[in-house]
Amino acid sequence: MRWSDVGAGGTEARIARCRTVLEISGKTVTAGALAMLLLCAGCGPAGSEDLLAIKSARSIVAEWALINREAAAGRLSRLYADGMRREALAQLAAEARAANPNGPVAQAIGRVSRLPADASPELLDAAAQNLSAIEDQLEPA
Amino acid sequence: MSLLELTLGIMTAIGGFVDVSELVFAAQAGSRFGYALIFVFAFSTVGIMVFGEMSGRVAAVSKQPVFNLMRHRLGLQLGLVTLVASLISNLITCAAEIGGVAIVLHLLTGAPYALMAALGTAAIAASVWVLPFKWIERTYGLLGLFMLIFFAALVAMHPPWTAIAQGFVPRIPAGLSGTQLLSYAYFAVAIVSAVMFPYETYFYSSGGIEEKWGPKDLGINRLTTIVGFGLGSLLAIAILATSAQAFGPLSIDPQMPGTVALEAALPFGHYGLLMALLGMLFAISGAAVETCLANAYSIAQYFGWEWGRYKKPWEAPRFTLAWIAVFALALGIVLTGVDPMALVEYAVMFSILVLPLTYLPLLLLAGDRTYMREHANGRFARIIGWGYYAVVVVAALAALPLFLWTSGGQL
Repeated sequence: MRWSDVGAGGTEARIARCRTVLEISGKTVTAGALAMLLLCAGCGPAGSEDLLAIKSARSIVAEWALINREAAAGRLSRLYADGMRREALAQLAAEARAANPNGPVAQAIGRVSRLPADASPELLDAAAQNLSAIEDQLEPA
Repeated sequence: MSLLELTLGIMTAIGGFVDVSELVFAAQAGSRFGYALIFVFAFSTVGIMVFGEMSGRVAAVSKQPVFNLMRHRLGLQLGLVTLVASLISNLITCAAEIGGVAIVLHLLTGAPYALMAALGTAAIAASVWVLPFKWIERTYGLLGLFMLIFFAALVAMHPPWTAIAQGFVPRIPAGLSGTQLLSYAYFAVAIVSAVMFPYETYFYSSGGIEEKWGPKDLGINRLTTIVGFGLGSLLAIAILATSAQAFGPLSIDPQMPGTVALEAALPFGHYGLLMALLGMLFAISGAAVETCLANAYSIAQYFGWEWGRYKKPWEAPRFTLAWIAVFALALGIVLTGVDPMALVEYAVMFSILVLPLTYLPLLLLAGDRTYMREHANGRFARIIGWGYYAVVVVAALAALPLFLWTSGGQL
C-alpha cells in the first residue's frame, strides 16, 4: 500500500459517514477528557499527601516484614530478599519526601526507614502497626 | 494447520496474555478488594476476544492489517490522529514493560537496575532481529508458561473456591466508604484498560499478515482468541485470587512489582520463587516485543513502507529502524529513573483514553462488506462489538477523574 493509493475505493457517502463518526467520537472523547481534567484539577482530596504517604509506607513495611519472615524461613533466595529490601527502603525514603516534611508522617516513616534491612519481622510488624494507627487518625471520618 | 500448531498457538496466547500492568493491577485488586473484581477481568477478556477476533478476521479476509485499512478507508488526517495517539500509548507501555524486565532481572541477578534495563532491552532486541516472527511469539509465549506456577500456588493455598466463583458475578463489595468505592471504580477501569490494551489488536492483526492468514484460517483465529485469551485471563485471575489469599489478610497492598513473586514463594519456597520470576521475565519481555512491534507496524503501515519480520531486517530497513528506535526510546524513558510503578499507571491511563480511537475504526472495518464480503460482522458481532465500544467510551471518560480523585487508586 503506497501513499498514492490513499482514497481509492468505497462509496463517498460511506467514507464520509465513517469519518463523521470518528471525528465526532474523537472530538467528544478529547473534549470530555479535557473538561474532566479541568474540573478535577483542583478536586483532589485535601491534605491527601500525608495520607497517601502513610498508606504506601504502611504497606511497604508489611511487605518488608513478610520478606524478612520468609527469608528467615529459608524460602527466598538471598538475591531476591536483598533486592526487595533495598527497594523497600528506597520507596520509604520516597514516601517520606512526599509527605509534609515537618509533620508526624514524615517523621514516623523516617524512623522506620532507619531500621536495618534485615530487621526482625516482629519489629517490622510493630512498626507497620504504628504507621497504621497514624493512618487511621488521618482517614476522613 | 496441524493440531500441534494450533496447540502451540493457544499455549503461546496463554503465556503471552499477562504483562506488567495486569500483574500489578491483579495483585493490588486482589489484596484490596478480595475476589470482587474477578468479574471485571472476565468481562474485559470477552472484550479483547471480540476485538481480537475482529482484527484477525480483518487481516485474514482483506489481507491487509487494520492500520493500513484505516488510513486507506478513513483518510490521512484521522489515521494520523489515531497513529499519534497509539504511538504514545504503546511507547509508554513498552517503557513500563522494559522497567518490569529490569526489575525482575535485578531480583534474579542482584545487578544494578539500570544495567539490567539496558542489557534486557539489548537481549530482547537481539531476539527480534534474529528470530522469525513465529518463533518470536512462541519463544516468549511458551516460556511465559512458567507463570502457571501461580495457578499451582493458588491451589496449594486451599482458597475458598465458592468465593472465587462468586467473584465472576458482578457485584460491589458491601461496606465500602465513598473513597473506597471510587478506588474500586478506578481499579475496574484500570483492569479494562490493562486487558484491552490497544497494541494487542495492532500486533495480532499484523501477525496474521506475517503468518499469511487467509479466510481458511478464520476458525483458527476464533479458537486462538477465545481459548488462548480465555485461559490467559484465568492466569491473571489466579494472580488476583492468590494475592487476596496471601496479601489481603496482612493488609499488604503490593507497592513493588517484585512482591507478586512472593505469591509462589509462600507455598513453594525457592523453586516457586524462581519459576514465578522466570515466568514474569518472559511474559513481560514478550509484552515489550509486542508493544514495540505494534508501534513499528503502525508507523510502517501508515507511511506505506515495506514491513514485517518475515523479511530480513535489511529488506525492510525503515521498519527495522522504527522498532529499534522504539526500543531505544522506551529504554531512554526507563533510564530517566521514573518509578516503574508510575510508568505502569501512565501506560494504563493513556491506553484507556486511546481505546475508543483504536476500536471504532476496527468495528467499522470489520462490518464493512466492501473489504470483508460475506465475512463482515453479523448481528451478534455488531451487538456485542458496539456494546463493548460503549463500555470503552464510558471507561475512557471516567478514567482521568477517577485517577485524580483517588490518586491512582491509592486512597
